[in-house]
Amino acid sequence: MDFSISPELEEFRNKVRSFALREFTEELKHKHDEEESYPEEIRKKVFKDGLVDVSKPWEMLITMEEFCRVDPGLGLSSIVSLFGNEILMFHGSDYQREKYLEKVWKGDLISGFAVTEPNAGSDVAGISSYMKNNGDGTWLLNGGKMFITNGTIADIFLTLVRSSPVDVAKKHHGLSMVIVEKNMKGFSANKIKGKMGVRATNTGELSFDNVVIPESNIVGEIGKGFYYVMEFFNISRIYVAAQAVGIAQGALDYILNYVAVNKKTGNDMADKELTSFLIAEVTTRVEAARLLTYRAASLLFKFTPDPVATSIAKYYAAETATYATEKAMELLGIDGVTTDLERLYRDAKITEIWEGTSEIEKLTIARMLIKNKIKEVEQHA
Amino acid sequence: MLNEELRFLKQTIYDFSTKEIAPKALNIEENGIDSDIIFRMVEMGFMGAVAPTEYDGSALDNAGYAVLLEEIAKNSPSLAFYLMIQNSFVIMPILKYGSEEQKRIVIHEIAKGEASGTLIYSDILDTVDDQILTIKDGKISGTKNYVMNSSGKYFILNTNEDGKNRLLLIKSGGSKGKEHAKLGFRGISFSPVSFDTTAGLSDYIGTGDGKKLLSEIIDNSAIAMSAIALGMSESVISKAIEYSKVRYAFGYPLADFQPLAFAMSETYGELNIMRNELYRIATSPLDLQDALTIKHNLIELAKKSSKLAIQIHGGYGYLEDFGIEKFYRDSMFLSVLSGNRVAELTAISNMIFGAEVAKI
Ligand SMILES: Cc1cc2nc3c(=O)[nH]c(=O)nc-3n(C[C@H](O)[C@H](O)[C@H](O)COP(=O)(O)OP(=O)(O)OC[C@H]3O[C@@H](n4cnc5c(N)ncnc54)[C@H](O)[C@@H]3O)c2cc1C
Repeated sequence: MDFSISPELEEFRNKVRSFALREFTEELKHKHDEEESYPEEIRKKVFKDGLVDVSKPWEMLITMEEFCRVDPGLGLSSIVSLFGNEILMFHGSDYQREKYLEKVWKGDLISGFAVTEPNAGSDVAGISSYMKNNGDGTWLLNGGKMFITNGTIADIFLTLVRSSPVDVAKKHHGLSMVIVEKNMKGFSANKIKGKMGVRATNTGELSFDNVVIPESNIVGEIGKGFYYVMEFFNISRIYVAAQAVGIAQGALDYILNYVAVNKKTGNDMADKELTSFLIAEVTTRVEAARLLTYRAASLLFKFTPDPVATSIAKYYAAETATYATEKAMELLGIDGVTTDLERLYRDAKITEIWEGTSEIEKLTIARMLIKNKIKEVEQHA
Repeated sequence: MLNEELRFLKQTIYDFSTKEIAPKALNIEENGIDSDIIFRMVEMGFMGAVAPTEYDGSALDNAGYAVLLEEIAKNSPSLAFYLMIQNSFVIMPILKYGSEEQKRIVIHEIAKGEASGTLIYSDILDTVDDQILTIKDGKISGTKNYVMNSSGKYFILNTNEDGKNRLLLIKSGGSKGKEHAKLGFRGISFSPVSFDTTAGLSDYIGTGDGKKLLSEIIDNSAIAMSAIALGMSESVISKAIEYSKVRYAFGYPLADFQPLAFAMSETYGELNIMRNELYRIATSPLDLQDALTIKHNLIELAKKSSKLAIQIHGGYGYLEDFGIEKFYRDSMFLSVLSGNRVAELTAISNMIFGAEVAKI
């Protein structure tokens, strides 16, 4: 057992942190939050500086954490352009990898991951976008997607669709993953405005109106889409956990700075036990969330992902992010509402919703554990 | 719990709030409280809700005033907080400590919708970068950083002259600075205000220590703030309950899932217990310990229920159009604006222990 982080990774952490502190200026943070606009210029810099390298997953994770610690909106926007790429990495054909994946990795193409629909979010198998086989090597797609990150800026979407009629007993069968390109005829996207937080990220509603999907755009095997999504969640949820750890750490930074400033100006708040307890309680949770996240990540990066570890990390880290921003807000009071903490508080809540709500994480944890236990009991019998 | 008169008032304000405020709630958040709304507030007698009739007020008692704020807050916490600023922060202090002339002019103008005012009370909030305004040679100059309804006409604040803190009513000479980022109550202006005026354009209110009076004013607003928190909790939890009946996941309405149903039912129960307690307090002779306690509990409840409601609404909860997320922001802002939390908890503890405690 070894809980240390390599010196190289620590050095990398310093590098991304300095990048975020330097590039995420007060002006840009405000502007993109207020206007709900995507910070394309920052994204370009992030790729140019080589801060996004899928062959170095630990670095990706640390980038996510440190970026969100400074500003989740700008931070997420600049790395989420490769959203969903792992699905192509694992299941994409040579053609798909060459045409899309390599460009996404370089930052030349933006990808999106489109599962949620207006009537089905948590219930992934409840989607109704339907793709009909034309029998001539093409399929015809109709339906729509909701809340899709990069919705109006992505070039391609890894899209979950139904490819054969619903079998009520086995709803997760008959779903497939396809690549929808923004230029395909019949595709359109509308920007969703008015998010409470992460307002620099782009979110859209997609619509498919008789979109022709060539066979070559089907990812992996037909009918396996649900499994690819679940496999992907094992990865993406760890990155959401890292977002949440970053946000929680950002809130803790506010708390400690504030107490230190008060101490310097002679306010005795720092000496009160209420303050001490608050600092200890928040720090403990942030540290626990970070360790859970790194543990889940280490299992994943060794190619032995554990959905239980992943869901524990995502659930706990997200709860810690909202908790820490709440506590920071309460401590700073009126001094906090005009600072970036105000935005952090709005941003934090999303981590309990996207990529599987906290409720869904809890169900995953419990169901896996029960299933394993039953297996164990059966083997003994 | 409520007597017949209060029940009637509640129904009237409920109808008004539902018919006239609810459709405008989103617009209030985006563009502020416009003159049409103020006009209706005046007609309904809400601007001068607590003022005696001789100053054009509606002379509502504590409970009636609480009913008003509760019902308005259900649809627009911004508007409820604005009404509270006028009544608890301006009209009440002037009634209590002010001169006859102040009453005749300021309260009358507010009740008639001709002017609005505000209280600047950051002096008692333990802020890092905010200073007490000083008066020198009859001149008042300086900036106060955190001013709600900063676009109003009248400012009541604590000032220091020759080392003595006094409560001052500034009648002109305040200029509004750049709007702050607004966590909540987006319908109300919030910015720094710079003062550059002479003492001639301002009056002292009362004779006591200014900071002490500020604390008293905030203490006296406890029931009003509780009522806003109550209305917010009620509204947001009812929306979650309704939504969970019609939203399906995995083939079932959300209300069928135990943890969701139980969380909403529990919050709903707490809400009813606290409503009863609030109106018991509001209809009894003022008990500060009870008033501060219910305020803390109701504000915590508002935070808890709005967080739960966002969660129940899933992705939709995160969007402004659905009118849920604003409660999450507003409840935290209310918590921040509700007073000096540590000082109040200390006061409650001192009353309970009958001695000065909680010093370390
Ligand atoms: C800003 C933003 C960006 C997003 N980006 C993307 C994206 O890029 N791609 C994408 O596919 N999706 C995206 N989403 C969608 C997001 O993943 C969903 O909102 C989320 O999965 C929840 O689904 P829902 O909103 O439909 O809520 P619902 O599924 O309707 O759930 C509502 C509530 O019920 C609870 N619930 C549901 N089922 C159960 C149960 N069995 N037991 C207990 N509780 C339950 C949920 O936990 C939640 O609290 C995004 C959402 C937002 C807000």
